[in-house]
Amino acid sequence: MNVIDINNVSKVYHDNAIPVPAVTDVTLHFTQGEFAALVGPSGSGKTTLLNIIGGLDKPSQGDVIIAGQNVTSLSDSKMIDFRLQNIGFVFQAYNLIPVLTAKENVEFIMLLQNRPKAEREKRVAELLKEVGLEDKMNTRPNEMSGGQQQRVAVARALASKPKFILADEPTANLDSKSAANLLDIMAEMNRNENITFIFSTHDQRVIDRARRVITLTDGKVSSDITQGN
Amino acid sequence: MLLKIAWRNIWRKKTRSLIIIFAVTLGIWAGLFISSFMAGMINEMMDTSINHYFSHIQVHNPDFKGNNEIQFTIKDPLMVMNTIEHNSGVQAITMRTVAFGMASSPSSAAGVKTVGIDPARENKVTTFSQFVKEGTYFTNGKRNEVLIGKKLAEKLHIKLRSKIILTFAAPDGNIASGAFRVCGIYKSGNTQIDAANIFINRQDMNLMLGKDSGYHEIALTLKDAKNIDLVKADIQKQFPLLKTETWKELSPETATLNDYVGFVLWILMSVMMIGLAFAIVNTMLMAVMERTRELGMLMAIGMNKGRTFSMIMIETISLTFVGCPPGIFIAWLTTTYFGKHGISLASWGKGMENFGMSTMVYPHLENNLYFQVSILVFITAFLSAIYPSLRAIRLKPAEAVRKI
Repeated sequence: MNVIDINNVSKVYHDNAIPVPAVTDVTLHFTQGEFAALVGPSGSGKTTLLNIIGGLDKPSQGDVIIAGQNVTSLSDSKMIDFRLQNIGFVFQAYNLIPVLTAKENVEFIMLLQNRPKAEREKRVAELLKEVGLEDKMNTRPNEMSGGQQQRVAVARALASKPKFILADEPTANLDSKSAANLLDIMAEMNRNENITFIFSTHDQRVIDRARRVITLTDGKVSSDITQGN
Repeated sequence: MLLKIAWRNIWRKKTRSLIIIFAVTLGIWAGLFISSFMAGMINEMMDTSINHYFSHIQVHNPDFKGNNEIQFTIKDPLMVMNTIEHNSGVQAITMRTVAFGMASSPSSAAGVKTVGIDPARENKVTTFSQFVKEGTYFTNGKRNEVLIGKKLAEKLHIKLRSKIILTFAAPDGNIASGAFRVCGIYKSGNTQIDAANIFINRQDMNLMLGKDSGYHEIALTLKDAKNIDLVKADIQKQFPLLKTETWKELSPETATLNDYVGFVLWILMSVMMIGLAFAIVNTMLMAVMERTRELGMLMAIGMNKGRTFSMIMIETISLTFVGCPPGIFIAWLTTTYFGKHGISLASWGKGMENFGMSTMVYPHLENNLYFQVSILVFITAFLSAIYPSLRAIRLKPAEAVRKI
């Protein structure tokens, strides 16, 4: 079974009464363990598509099936709960709650899931160690570098044991070393835990590391290439 | 965790939060202190009315209340007084003889109410003796002494030891008059009382009239003022033919002012809370706007609207409540201090005395008012939190995370 099925999805925005097609008739399928990148120039629709996959936006047409569940028909409140249990997010910036430490940020998502304390503490320690930040447990985001913050964000995304992780331009604000470090961690998680990663990116470093590159042009899939990475 | 996030968020912008906290503290202190000040003023007025003359309850012949004529005395006054005295709620009781007439000095004359009292008994019911500023209350055994108000003394151009002539109608219709020497000049704090009331020994009044003049007024004080209506009802039941009135009926302007001021104080506090609410809403709206991306991220990762709403609500209420204890404490401190030492309003003295208000105000607050104000602050904080919280949950995560 596919993790994600995107069937004939289109999205048209009606800002200022002028319809703007952001995504047009996209059909894509993702299996467990994929490490895929959505690429394309600005305005190609990759962020819109990522938002639709993540349930942050609803398509004008078509549907999205995640692990057998048609999420397009879910109400807003049910979708929030679905995201909590099934989807991890890593954003370009503002990933973390500024007033919480690294440990508390990672733990936060498990608190939302009402996981028991012992489980939370164990998983937080494991994940922060995996991302190489076990010594930054009690550090707040403003005391960390951009790369460290993104690593905590990855740990937080993994903490909820999602079916897949959506990363929207995660390396955009990072220097090359931090970006490489982050990609290494995500690639390792992908290998070790078989978690699907889908990136929306301009970053060639990410594109080079992705095993599948889906190119969008003017809201349509113009190519879908599997790379041997 | 929401409580932790909310509390820490308050201190993200320390200056802004401290300004709001200061505003809450100041608002609560100001509201409570003004309330205590006005309550103190009204208490002084009530004390002046009750303790200086009216007492808690008075009993009269109903015809006397209508006509003020000397022949309308209370029937069997001693029996009435003894019966009332046995009421468990009564602290002290006295009887008075009242006649309306003239007081004349060599240079002037004035209409007065002459009150014949038993000085010893009267002293247990009223605190009049404490307001004698010159001379003495009454001297044991001395005849034809008169206590006169400062205002009246000025009007008659007399001083201590001066002689005045008192004239009033006797029960038989003749004019009774007598010469009296001023033994004491009092200042009650109410110029209206000072200008119109003079006090003589009742025995001297009987001598003037040539017979026992009877009693027109029974005045009593209570052990607990809260029982005033109960005691009045008891007396009314025992003596249905007599007119029994509480101080509120005898001095309706004071009673009305008391009720009016209470109402005005609540209006004042409510207006202050409304002002505070606007400040809180403004601050929290700024906080929500500034944190649009963060809130969008939280909703994207799975924090539902209920939790988002609760987080903003907790933050707003916590911010408001931080300022509450200091405000209440400072109000308690200032009220206690000035309640003991008083605030002098001597600059407005003359005007205030015309209304029966003392120039020295002792702020006073009932303890339950601190609790009521805390509730009011909570309600204000709660209501102020709703709009910013609604704005937060109306954010669309997809747009919010990308907001510049």
